[in-house]
Amino acid sequence: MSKVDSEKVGLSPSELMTQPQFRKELTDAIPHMRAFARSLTGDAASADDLAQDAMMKAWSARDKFKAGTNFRAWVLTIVRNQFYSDKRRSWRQAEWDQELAERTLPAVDNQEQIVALDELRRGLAELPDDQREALILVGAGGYSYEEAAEICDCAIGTVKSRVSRARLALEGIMKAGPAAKANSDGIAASEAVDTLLDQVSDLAEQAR
Amino acid sequence: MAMSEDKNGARSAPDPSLVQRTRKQQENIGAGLRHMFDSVLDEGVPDDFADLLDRLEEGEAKRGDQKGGARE
Repeated sequence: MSKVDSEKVGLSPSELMTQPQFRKELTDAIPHMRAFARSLTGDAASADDLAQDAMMKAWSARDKFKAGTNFRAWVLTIVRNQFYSDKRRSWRQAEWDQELAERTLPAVDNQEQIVALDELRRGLAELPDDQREALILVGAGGYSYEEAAEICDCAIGTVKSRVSRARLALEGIMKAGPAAKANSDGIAASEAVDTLLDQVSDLAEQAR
Repeated sequence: MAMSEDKNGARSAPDPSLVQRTRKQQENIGAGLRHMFDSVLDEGVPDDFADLLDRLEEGEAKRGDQKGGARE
């Protein structure tokens, strides 16, 4: 039974949202559902399928959402649970699909930045599930530890430790990756990664 | 940030320049991750999401008529 199902059932009318209110909340949450789904699946098409499946689930579980509580966390919990149940049906293996990744990368015109972002996505795909989701929520989405803990159904301290382990693991994966090796003619791999990561940072600054 | 996560890893006092480099790398990784996420937030939602909501509402209106189900 999913977390959503186990929430208190039988809410009083004052705790229920009206249908228009619910639609409004769900509409506002869509960009976050898509962004979270995209980071989890690593490609745009499966991510939108995932987000839409989660929207249908959320809609049918509408009478289980208590008005005034955190809607975004509630709905991202559904995205997460849906992702893992799809994954169990082997809809998406942990393999890294290079071609697909290139098609779904954000538009950038600098080749080095493309390589850097690609590396980041590859690294993310290699992380264990629990670390990846924690890092996406806190490190990429900017969610609080509390919110991430609610979404991932674990303790706040657990989220903190997963995020910090994920950060170190990601750095390690990138250092050992093909881009670091390919760039490292004559220079240490760790310096190649520094250069690579500087590109990512430049890119993020340009986007601001 | 806790550097000594691994249970068997009693790390010796780290070299300051290494600490600084790691910090810089972590900042860059963080910036890249945020960029990835934000670029999806900023790209606009395809129309089929609103279409799906319309279908869900219509489907519910039909079911509600049949069952006399409580809406609101």
